[in-house]
Amino acid sequence: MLFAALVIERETLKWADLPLALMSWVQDAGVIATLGLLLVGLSRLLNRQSLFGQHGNALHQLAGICGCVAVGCLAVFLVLLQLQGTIRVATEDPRVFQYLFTTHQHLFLTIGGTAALVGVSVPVVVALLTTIRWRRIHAIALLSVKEALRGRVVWVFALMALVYLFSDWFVTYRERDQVRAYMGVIYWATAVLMLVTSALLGSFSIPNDVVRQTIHTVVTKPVERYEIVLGRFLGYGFLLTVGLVVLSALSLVYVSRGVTPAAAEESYKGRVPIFGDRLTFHGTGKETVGENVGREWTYRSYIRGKSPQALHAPRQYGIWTFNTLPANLKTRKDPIPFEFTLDIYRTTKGEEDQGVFCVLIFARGSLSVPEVERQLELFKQEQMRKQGVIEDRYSKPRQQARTQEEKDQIEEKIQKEYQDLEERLASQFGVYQVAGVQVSDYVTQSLTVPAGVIKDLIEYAETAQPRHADGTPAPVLKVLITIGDDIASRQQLVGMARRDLYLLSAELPFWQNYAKWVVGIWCNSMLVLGIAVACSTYLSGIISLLCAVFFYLAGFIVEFIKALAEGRLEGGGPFEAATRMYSRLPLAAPLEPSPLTSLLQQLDAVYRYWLGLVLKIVPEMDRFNLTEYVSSGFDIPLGEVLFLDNILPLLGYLLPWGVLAFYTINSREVANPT
Amino acid sequence: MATSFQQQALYRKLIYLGIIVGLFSLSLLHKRLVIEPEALRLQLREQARGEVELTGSVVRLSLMGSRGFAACILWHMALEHQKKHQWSEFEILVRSVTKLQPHFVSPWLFQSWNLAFNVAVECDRPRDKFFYVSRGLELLAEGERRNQGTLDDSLLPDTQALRFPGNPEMRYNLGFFYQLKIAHSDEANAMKCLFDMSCIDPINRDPDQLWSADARGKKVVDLPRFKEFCRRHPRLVRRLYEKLRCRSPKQVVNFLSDNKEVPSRFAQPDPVKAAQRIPTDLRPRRERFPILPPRVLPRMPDPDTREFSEDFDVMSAAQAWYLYAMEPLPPPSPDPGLVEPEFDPIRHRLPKMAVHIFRTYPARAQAYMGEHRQKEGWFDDEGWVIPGWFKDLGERVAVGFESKYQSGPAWHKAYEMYVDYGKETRIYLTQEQRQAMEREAELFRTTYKISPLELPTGLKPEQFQGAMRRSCAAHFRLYWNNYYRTSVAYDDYLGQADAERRPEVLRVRKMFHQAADLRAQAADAQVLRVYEEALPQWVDILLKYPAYRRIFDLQQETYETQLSYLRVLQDQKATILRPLHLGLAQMSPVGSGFLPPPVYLPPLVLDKKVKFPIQVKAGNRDEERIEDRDVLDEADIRRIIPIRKVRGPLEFIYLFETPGREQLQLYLLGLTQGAINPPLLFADYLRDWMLVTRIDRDRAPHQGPWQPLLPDQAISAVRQQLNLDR
Repeated sequence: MLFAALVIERETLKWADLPLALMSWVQDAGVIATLGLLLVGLSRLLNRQSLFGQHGNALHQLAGICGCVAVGCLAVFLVLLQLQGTIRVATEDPRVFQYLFTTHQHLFLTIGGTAALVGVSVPVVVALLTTIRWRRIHAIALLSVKEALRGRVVWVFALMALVYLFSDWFVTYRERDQVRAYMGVIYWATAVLMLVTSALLGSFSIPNDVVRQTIHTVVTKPVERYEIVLGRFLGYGFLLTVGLVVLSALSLVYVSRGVTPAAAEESYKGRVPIFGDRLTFHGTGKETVGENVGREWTYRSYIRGKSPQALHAPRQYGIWTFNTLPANLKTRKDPIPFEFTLDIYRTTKGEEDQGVFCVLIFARGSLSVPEVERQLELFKQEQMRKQGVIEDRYSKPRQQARTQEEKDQIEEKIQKEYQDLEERLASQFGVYQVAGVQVSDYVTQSLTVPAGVIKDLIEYAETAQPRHADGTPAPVLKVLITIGDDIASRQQLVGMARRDLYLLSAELPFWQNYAKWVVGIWCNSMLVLGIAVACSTYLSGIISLLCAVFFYLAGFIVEFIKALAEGRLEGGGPFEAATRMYSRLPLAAPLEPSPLTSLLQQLDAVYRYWLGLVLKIVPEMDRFNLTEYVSSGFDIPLGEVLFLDNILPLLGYLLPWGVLAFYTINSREVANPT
Repeated sequence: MATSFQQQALYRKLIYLGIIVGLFSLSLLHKRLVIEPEALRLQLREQARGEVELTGSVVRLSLMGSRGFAACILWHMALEHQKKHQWSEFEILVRSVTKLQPHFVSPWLFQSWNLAFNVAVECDRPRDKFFYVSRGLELLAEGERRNQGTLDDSLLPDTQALRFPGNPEMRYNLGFFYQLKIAHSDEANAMKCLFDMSCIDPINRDPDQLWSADARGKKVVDLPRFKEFCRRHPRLVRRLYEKLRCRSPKQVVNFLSDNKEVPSRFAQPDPVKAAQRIPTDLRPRRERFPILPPRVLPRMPDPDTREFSEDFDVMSAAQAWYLYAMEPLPPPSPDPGLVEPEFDPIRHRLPKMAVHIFRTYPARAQAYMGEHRQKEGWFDDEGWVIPGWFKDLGERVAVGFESKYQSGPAWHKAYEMYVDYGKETRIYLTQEQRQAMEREAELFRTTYKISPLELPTGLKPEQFQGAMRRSCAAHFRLYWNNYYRTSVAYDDYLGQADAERRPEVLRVRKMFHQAADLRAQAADAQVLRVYEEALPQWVDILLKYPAYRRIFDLQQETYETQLSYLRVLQDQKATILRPLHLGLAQMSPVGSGFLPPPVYLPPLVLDKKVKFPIQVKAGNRDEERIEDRDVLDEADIRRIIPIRKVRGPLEFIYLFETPGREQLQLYLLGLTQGAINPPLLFADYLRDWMLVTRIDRDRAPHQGPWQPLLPDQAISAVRQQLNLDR
């Protein structure tokens, strides 16, 4: 694994994306709510009842009105879809196109979704505000905890002791992998334990009450049925939270014991990185991607060295663009550390036990690559001239120095002047170059840039406020990397991704990061508990368990489902795949054009459409796994990752299930359990 | 008082209890007396297959029937992690897969290969590669232990009992991994250094012990201690100096420091003990790297030896595994081609490759040991003089005098092993034996008009009686002997080992090595002298050892050496050759072939500047400007080889190659030298130079039985490899 390089293939949500994400949630949840309202409406019509429910029931009437609005908007949306079609956008994968709705389609879908959500959620909200009492929920939650304790559920957590005692028999690692290996073990052990417990607790509690008829003793009291659901969820949630906290504390001791110096250096910390906003390439033919070296995993793109056989070809660069930099960097006196982990792809053996020599250039964000090259030329000319002056100035003292100590002092002075000169020139020309950086792959490497250089860059961006030709503000900093011209290096390729180079802003203690990681697991188990409890309001225990397990497992292969739904998979959908298997055609071979092939592909298209709809209700479980951050030694950002990418999606996912549970528990015939 | 019903029920229960106890006791006795001895006899217990691992067994049993499913899922996940370069996770999953099916050999082989080759190659630094090679080897060694068969004789009821054989394929692969990934890898020098470090006690290579402070408090290498380190590990130090460009003691110590955490045979040193120089404990046998097989033969290294001396190298480890791989093989046929080898499927196992090739690996490994020592400059007892590092101590330090560093003994041992192999497999025949068999086979061949290289169909020795039967058998023996010898290149390897162990060969090899060293130091004047001294001696050797000179690799090597010599010659004599050949070239009518082509071509006169377009910013628009830029720097220009097509002295040597050449040489020697007084006919070199002539191969390439010392195939192979025919 590449250390201290954060490999996150899925981009996390950003604050700027929040309104769009909310709109998307309203649309998705709204469509499901509309379908629910449509079904209720149809059943009322079939039973010859009013579409707006009982006369005088304002909530029923509101639901009816909202349902009508939602269905109407959905119908308009479908008509617009038919008339306008969608906007087809090409993606980096030439096989895949993104299909976007037009503004009007979005508008109607959002209005319809909002109306449907209002229609289904207002009765819940009203119930929560009027009839439901938190005191009763608290009592039921307490009862749930007591039941679970009496049922010795907490003993399940003792299984973790097996992991602590025996995992070392199975887990082997090299020293610097220690934290990574431990975190992997702890994550899977804790997650499985928590998920099994939460699924079992959530699935069987209400059905068991119904089967054992103990629910009668509760529902005959002045207790709202939804209070039972909330009580169970919160009670078990509390129990699981306490269990998780205890387990995590013990696991922290397990992970932290005897951390080797190599592991501590690599990942027993929480680096706070400032990543570039984007990575672009120059000279590779396409701005967004570099050279392809034929690796299956296309996470990284590569640049190659300047070949003497292709002198006219432009030099290739990887360019990280930092739109902004924190203002506090201006006040820093110590050199600013940058860390990077790059991948090397060799075309020749090169020099034995030598990495690839690269050049890193820190430049003003407004400069284009040719400008950077020109500025560097000027920088070097001026540097040589002024270094000559310095050398001349010190030539006499050098000759006069008698002792080694005096000579060393003079050399130190010269070096200091060289450094000052470099900073001054960097400020003057807007570029700063670090040459001869030996890059080795799978290794975190670090270099420092004088604080003055970064300060000048920030101040230049603030004062000059440079802009691009289209009027958008130019970024503050560009970090360019290119391969050196020595004969061994220029034959190799160097691979990079956006998060492979960062400005190291600070380092937090490991435990803080670990605590944030625990929140991810907590979200995971709450999600399963929520699904299980919601399902158990209508289904029997075992079916609820199966549902929860199904959603959980489907959540892990959501990427695969997405690829299938988007038609990105080699071999096509199920019909095409079956044909290939039957006719023993390899994946890459095209199908023979025939009416049957055409029919099968149409069937696959229909299948993919429905799969796309199903995809909306499958949670993305992978987002709750924050192990990559912790085991690579990167701080988990509180806002963008923990809140926006974990807690908010959890709430967004559980809310519709909560509303569903409200209706299912209230519609259930408790006296007649099946 | 119990009723009669109750009494009957009680009796009935007691009877049942008695029957249960009786049957249970009987079953225990049956198990102890019948089943267990039978299981032992038939080697059905898991211990018979190899080491038993409790946790793996628990996991397998707990999975019940879904072991295959779990193995598939884990395998798939492992490959996904591999794809994403998540090596740590990948390795954990790979180990889990192998635990689930420990007696299925293919996953061990596949995944250990995967780790040692595919994963290692993705790493860039030799130390990372070395780590994953070691992991691959450890994984395969673990698999071998699970399938090593019955090593513990105490488990067997008697010596005649069945013995579950080990797996030759896994053992062979362990040796082969060492050979390919460490001894012969692209980074062989760095890998071999790391391998040597694995075998050294960490306190003896502790870089902190080798530092001290000078008068001004500056960190410097403690030269006396460093000298001691050099004395103890001359091969390591020399390799670092000559191959890995560690030109100062500081660089050597930095290398030790950078690679301090190399996989090792030793446990992590205790700082307190290390400070007192108390030797570090060995790791448990299974966790040591390099991992070695149990010592089942006296010539194998003992895995429990605390610290190996430097004659133990990576090929020693490979050889140990090759030797261990021979254990499960059936004994070779007593009469190859005529008698089928004994093969008991219960006691023996066969490898996938041809057995007669498989059996050559231990000897081949030994030959590599000799070859590696030569490549690293260890030839004789003169050792290596460390250049300049200890001049502050006022000493000339030389190291590595002992015979363990010399290539001669290694080659001698290789020769013996090849002879032993030949004798064991019955393919080694002395000249006399061969001639006797040829004579005996003549009757059969002439009667049935069969050539020596032909295997007659429908005829077998059993069909004949008396002299014809013996003649037919002799023909069969010779045919199969030839077949086996050819398929393992036996004559080449034996001839090579035989020659390389000779002092005169070692002497010339050493001169070539010195010449290469001097070239690296740009001491061209001395290089030329060394080459001119060595090359005639080399020709003598080639003429003296016919089997040696026929080795294709050696012919190529000889041609390469000649090219190096020519290059040096051209550089050294440039002041004479340049005007001479320029003049010749000017006088020569172009393309007429009237005059010989110039032997020397001066370095290409290149227009170093080319027009190079660059993009520049002019106001708001980009402009293209043409600049003169260097095509090649000085280093590039130096690399351009001035030789294109030029013949060296060795290419003019032709030999009269005919059966019975040696007898003819002796006859001619007697004829031509016998009259001289005092007679010179017993001087070996005179005999060797008989039937040798000088022919210009460009003018008369085909000369019947006269064959060139350096055949065209060898020359063109080298020229293609060096890209000289452009």
